[in-house]
Amino acid sequence: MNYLRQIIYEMRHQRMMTWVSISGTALSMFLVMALFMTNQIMTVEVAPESNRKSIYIGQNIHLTGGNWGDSSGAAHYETIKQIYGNLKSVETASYMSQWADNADINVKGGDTFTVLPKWVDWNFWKIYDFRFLDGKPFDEADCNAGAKKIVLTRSLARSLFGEENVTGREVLVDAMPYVVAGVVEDVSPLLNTTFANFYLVFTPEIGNSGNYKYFGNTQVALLMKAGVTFEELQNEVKSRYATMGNEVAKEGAELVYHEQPYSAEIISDGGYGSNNSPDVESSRRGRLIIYAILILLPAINLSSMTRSRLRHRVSEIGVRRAFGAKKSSILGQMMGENMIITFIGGVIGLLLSVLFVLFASNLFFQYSGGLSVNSLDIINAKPTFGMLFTWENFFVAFVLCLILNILSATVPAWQASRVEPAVAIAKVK
Amino acid sequence: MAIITLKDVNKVYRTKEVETLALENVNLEIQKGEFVSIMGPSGCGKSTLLNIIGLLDVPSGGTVTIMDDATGKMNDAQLSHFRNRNIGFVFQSFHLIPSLNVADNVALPLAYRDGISSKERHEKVAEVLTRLGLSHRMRHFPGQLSGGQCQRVAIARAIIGDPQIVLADEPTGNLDSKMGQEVMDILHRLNKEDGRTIVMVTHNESQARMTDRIIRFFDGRQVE
Repeated sequence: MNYLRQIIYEMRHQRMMTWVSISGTALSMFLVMALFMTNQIMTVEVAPESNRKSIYIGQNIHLTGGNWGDSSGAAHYETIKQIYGNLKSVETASYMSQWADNADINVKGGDTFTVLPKWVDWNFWKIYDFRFLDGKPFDEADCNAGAKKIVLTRSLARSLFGEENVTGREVLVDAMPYVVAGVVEDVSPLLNTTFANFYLVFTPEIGNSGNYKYFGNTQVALLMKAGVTFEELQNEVKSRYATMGNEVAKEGAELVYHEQPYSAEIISDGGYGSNNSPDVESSRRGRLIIYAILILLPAINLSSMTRSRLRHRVSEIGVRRAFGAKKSSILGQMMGENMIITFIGGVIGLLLSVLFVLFASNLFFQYSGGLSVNSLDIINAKPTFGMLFTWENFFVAFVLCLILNILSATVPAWQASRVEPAVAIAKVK
Repeated sequence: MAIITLKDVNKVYRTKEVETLALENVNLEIQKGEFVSIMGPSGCGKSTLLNIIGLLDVPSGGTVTIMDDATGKMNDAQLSHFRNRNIGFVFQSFHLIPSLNVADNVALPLAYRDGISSKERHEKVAEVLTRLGLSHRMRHFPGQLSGGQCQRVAIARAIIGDPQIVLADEPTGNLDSKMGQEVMDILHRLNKEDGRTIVMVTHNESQARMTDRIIRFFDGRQVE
């Protein structure tokens, strides 16, 4: 039996109900997927953060008691090194600045751009896969020597020089001269560990900014060894915290542990401060409740539409039952047919959500990095197609369609399958 | 040899306010290969009887035996299977599925039968429609056919599964006399040539007289 042909016929002959059903499904999918993607983008693995699932970030410390009162914030280079240096679970550790103020950059006699710098070490270029358009990253020797080298992003290189092949040329950062070591592809501001407009050599002096003993401006990215679990890594870190806590205790203070190191999800979620622990579970629960509401409400409405559509087919159901269809066959057929309508709505909803997230991203991803002066190409964090068209998104959309179909069609289809054939036939007679 | 046997069959429709006795102590035997007409005024229980024989409805009391199978203890799946294999239905309003073309409508009973390939199904549909003079209408939809053609499609659907019993509920009720006669000729052919047992509900005395036997009903009781 050609069910598909029949579905197309039914869709054409119950146009109003079909379009309302498809639109309702599309709207529901659109809302859920738009929301899902805005969250999912924050953790998607995309260059240069292609291995986010294996990288954890160590940052911030929190001290209480003694002379410290209740102090928390970015850590001193030595503190970070003491907690996260040479961990057995870690293959490579990259030290970098945790925060930065915008800096003025220009070429002699040229326009000045106020943009975001980042100080990074040589391992930064190893664990993150930047695409170099020109030149090369700085190496260990450069870092040890505190070389005045700079890696520019494509947009900034073009704004400064009008081209990308500028290795060896000089730029001024806050009036200090630096030599261009290379040019990399732009990084989306959504990738908050690697995003910057230019990169400078990280040195312990940068990481010790402020010289408040334990506090400074250092964070570390830890690339875990293959086969190592997060729990193993975290246990090692906890043990280091305990050791350091003993030292701090001598000053009458306490080192408070806040579940470090942090995953990309925690970093992106941002629902934590330097003096409290992230509560990613609560964020997840909140999102799940919103997803459930966004699915459940349209499902209830769609259920009435499905019931109405099936009411037009009582006679058909009676005839099918008379000629040998079991209740389960009717149930299966009605669910299957509804699934196709749900999928059509689902695909439309998914496409709408992708377009919305791509083109209305300003609503979601405002970047307050301050590129107001002589702004570059990237002002807002725009997700790319690569970030949105992932297997995970398709899978989630598929599962949502299934759930929506089950919620909206099960009861009407079950009721339809229970209609007594004699009653169904007599109704039309 | 009886192919259909009803013993002390009653049918009562109950609502909160009222009980309606649709059939009262019906005892009936229909022989294999017989063409039987059921007649009576509207509301006398003819269609209820046909639904009970067709296992589309269950009696409130009594037993229904079809082809030596006591149907009272069959569950829904067994009843569906039994109907699919042994009973074909022809309805007054044709009850063709408007969203399916003629071929798909005719093939409907085969869709619920295991082990039939799509090629086999297609061949059977072509064979039955050729026999009923409708092979050129295979791809048409019911809305594109005349009443007589619709009823012939319905008959094709009723016999494609090769059932021994065909139940026809006022098969000519919605047709003019010429088309009605055509349909009656087909039913007689199915009875004589194929040996199918046909039970037909009708209001038409002359059509009934052409069948082997007339069973008359009045107020739920068999009167003749």
